[in-house]
Amino acid sequence: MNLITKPLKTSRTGVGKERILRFFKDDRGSLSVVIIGLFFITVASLMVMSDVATVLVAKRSLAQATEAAAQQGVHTLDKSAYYTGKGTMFTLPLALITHRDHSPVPIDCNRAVVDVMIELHNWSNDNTSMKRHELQGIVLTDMNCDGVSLEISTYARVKLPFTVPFSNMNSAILTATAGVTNQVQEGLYLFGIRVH
Amino acid sequence: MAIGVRSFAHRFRIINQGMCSRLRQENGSAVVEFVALAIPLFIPIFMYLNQFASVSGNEEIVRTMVREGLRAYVASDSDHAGREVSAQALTVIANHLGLTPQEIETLSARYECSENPCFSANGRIRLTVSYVDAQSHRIIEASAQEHISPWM
Repeated sequence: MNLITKPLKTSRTGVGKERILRFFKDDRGSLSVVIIGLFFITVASLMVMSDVATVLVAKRSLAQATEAAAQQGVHTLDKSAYYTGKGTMFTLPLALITHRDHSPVPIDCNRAVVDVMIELHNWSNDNTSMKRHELQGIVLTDMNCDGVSLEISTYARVKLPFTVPFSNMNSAILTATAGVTNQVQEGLYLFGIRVH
Repeated sequence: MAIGVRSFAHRFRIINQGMCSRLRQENGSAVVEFVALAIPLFIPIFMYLNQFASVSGNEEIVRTMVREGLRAYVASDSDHAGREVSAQALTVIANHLGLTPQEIETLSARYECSENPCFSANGRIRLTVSYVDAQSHRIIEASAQEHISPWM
């Protein structure tokens, strides 16, 4: 029984081997493999490109929110610092003659923190077109206030439209920093009306 | 008559054989494969790319416009001057960023103020700028908010 079946088996395997070898040597359909491979590479790069574009647009939105918060913070006047010193009838003529620069408007740093946080909270909870929807809560990470200028740093997590291929990355962290100072608008004012 | 029919049949057979042998040949099969596979796969990708680029570009443009338009308003002296300067800034920026005249015509700016009159000290102003994209006919919109100086 074994003597009969063995040669048959070997001949069948020989045919199978030949077929497989012929299949691999055959050029037909080789282009399909290349095209499908290229297609997957293109789709993967497209996903990465979409993610990068989303991050860039979200970064602009975060920078805008940070600037708005910094500007709101700098609007807090430190009255005690502002009204120190004594102005005499010679103060203005002397300043005009010597072209002395007006001293910067002092900022109340304690109130500035609160105002900055309120403004960032407003931007974070906005559901209109003011903030990109991919941008999640904006967090204040650092604030430097020296009494005349203010610098704030924020960060926010941005949700990516596609998970980055071959990784588990589906969000990114963005940071933004803005610095602001107050400058007095030079001019001659009479009863609140700018004459010159 | 019978000879004519025979010669026609003979010719037809020759043409048929030629066609069959031509179809059996592998010359040019790569082109057919490419057209059949690559075009259906890649055309949607190009369409998506085009749409995505357009949406991203428009988003950048409208965000720049709203930001600069609002700065122009907030930094001005009065409500009237602010609206004038802001409108001018929006038009100039739209021209520079490559918006078409039709798109500039559809440009609109909406002000929402926390105080009345709008240009009041410490008042909060939100500007929303929108326009219609000429290609996709989508409405592109963005808004920004700022506070007016308390010492105006």
